[in-house]
Amino acid sequence: MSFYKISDKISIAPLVIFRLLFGVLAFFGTLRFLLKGWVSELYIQPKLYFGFYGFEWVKPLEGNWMYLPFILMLIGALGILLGWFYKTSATVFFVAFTYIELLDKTNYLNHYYFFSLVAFILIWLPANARFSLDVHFKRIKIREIIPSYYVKILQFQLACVYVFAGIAKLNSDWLFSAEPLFTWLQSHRDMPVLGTIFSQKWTAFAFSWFGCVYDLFIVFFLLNKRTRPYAYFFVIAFHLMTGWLFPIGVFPYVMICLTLIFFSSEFHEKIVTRLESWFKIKSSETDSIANLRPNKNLYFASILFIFIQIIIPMRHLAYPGDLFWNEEGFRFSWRVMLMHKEGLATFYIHDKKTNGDIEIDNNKYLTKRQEEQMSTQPDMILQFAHFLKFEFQDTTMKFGEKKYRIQNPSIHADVYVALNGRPSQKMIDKSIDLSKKEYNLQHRAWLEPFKP
Amino acid sequence: MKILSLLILLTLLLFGFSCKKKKTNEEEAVNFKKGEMLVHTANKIVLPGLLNLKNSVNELNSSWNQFKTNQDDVSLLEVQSKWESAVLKFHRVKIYEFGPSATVGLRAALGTFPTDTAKIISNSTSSGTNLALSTNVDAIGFPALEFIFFRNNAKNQLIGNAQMQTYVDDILAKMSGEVNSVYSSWNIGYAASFGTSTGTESTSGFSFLINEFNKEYELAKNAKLGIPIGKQSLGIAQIEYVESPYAKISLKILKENVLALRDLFRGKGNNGVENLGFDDYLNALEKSTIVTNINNGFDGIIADLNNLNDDLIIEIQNSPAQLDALYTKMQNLVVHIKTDMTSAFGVLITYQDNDGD
Repeated sequence: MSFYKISDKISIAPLVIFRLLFGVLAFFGTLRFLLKGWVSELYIQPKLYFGFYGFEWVKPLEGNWMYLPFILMLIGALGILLGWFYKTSATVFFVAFTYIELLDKTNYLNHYYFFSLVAFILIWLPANARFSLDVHFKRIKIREIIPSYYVKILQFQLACVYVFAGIAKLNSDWLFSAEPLFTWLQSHRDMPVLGTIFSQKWTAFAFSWFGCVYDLFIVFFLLNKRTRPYAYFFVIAFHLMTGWLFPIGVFPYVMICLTLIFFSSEFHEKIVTRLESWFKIKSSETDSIANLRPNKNLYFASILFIFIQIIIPMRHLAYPGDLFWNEEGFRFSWRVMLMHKEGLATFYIHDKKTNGDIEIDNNKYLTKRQEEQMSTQPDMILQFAHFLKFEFQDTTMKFGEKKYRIQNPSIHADVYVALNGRPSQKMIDKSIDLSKKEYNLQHRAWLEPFKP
Repeated sequence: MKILSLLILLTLLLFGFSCKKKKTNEEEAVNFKKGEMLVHTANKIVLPGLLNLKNSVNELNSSWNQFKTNQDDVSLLEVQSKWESAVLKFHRVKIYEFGPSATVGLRAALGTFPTDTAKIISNSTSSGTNLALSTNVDAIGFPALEFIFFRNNAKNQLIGNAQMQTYVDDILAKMSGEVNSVYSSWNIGYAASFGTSTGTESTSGFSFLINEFNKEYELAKNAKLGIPIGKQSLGIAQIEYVESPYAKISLKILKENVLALRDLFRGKGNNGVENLGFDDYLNALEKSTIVTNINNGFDGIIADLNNLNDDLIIEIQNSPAQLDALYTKMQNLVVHIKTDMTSAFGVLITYQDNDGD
């Protein structure tokens, strides 16, 4: 068993390997994003952005300047990988990456959030104190030993993802209807031989239950020395499988790489020693024991961080109503692969004087992806309604020869959403004036209740 | 250790189940293959549709040449009738704006309205107009020809106007070239590759089909009905946005468009026989309620359209209430196709990563 005490001293090797892997993943992940043309598609072309509550002040840069944060991310990732001006590099990467993520909740992915958090943690860890250019150029002293909680905080972060994802799967749609997996697996129903298997209900059930058990317990098997090799085999198999079946990008590889942090420091030490011998680096000149004293501020900061990380995924408990329907406290909670929502949101600008409506063509203002995300998520619907209010407030409309001035329109939306294979049902009634509803973190009582 | 054994057991079950599968009533449903539906759609709906369009455009071309020789009312009537049959054929295949049609941009090149009549006249009088320019998209295609063939005193405006005749030649040549190229691309290889592209990623043939089905339906609803009757303008009708103001067959075109969508949904081929369509896939997924709702929706819309005049402008004056009711029916059907059907099919609209939320 490797349940060592918090204050234990261990080799720095796990941090070094983690840094190398994170650097490589960050670099190629960013490069992939650039090569796919997503910078322009997601951050230059849109006319408006759905900011996060409290972070609406985070705005995109002008036009092609949006490439700048991505270039900074590449440089930061390289710095992390090489351990060169490491702390600055990690900070640059974290700031640039998080800036991008905060711009538009349309593009929110749990795994981006995860990546952001890990980058943040890395800023504070001395992962560059061995096998790095910082050590090579004598910018810092080499270290062989670290307090074990440096590694534990990373393990905690990964554990959070798995365990909360597992708990989130303990819901009736997932366990007793095998949704949304049943719907998603139909994607492969035409595959030779396997297609017949993928299209069946019991397959979706097997996948759902297996996925749930995996998420709930994998961390504990990774922590246990005896079960660890088997558990890691499951990690690889599980993530390769999901990566193959679903369009989830680089994240299977992120998880496969970063879960290595659960392996013993001896395991990592072997790898680092081998790397050092390849690069002909002699490990010598260990710093004094004085540096080993855990940094008290850092220690308490980590406790606070852990506390916040546990509270945030549970904040949905403070809201009444159905979590999947209302999505109050849904994000930042490791709810991965849980929902398939499809919606239709039709907006109307209502002019009281003529009692006439202007039906909005969402495509005029939103990208395809923005429209799709907005149509099912109440907070985004409200944000868009407020945008429309601003857009149509005191404007002169020209209809052919006729001119008409709209003064104080009310904004309405007819919204229907289908959740996890159910027939669609009404989410927002057209009679509600959305411009009068405040955008905040309180429960949105004006949503139609979900009928399961 | 116990839980580990459980884990292993579960995996074994997962992979082992596949070997001892028994016949169940689900078997029937499982037999539905998207690939077969796509092959049927390509061979019995899209290809014949494109061939019809190609032939119709050729006939329109011949009738136009005949008119240039005869320069009389009878041959103009013939041109008008060939125009109408070709434009209706176009609205049968306008849905399939992916693959070869997307490369050419057929939907916009042949069907952009309202057409810019001033631009048509100025284009015809200046030599060397490049019709392929995007700025000319509203001065070409069926709507431009409609203006030229159907406007008041069309015959006399054409006779002796060599420039306008050349302009028509150019428009027709562009249309024939585009339609021929789309047809031959489908015929030569696209239909075959389309039939095997059954995934739900945004670039699969299946996703293209579903996404364009939705898009075409919304286009029909908004551009052909909603905008002209004032749905985006405080209820003030916008006659200038009516699709076919010269030939006066706007609602006939809308009906053809909706029929094409309904036939695709039901898998009704050119031989009139219903085969594999979206309805069969929904039934295979045990979502027969959605099928009923969508069928009823389509039938209601067609029934309404049967009771209306072909000309939307007349109906805007005479029966605004009926148009409003028709629009509501079309709006209600969007809910079923865009949320219920699309969600059952699980297709993606963009190719970005997602994590399922």
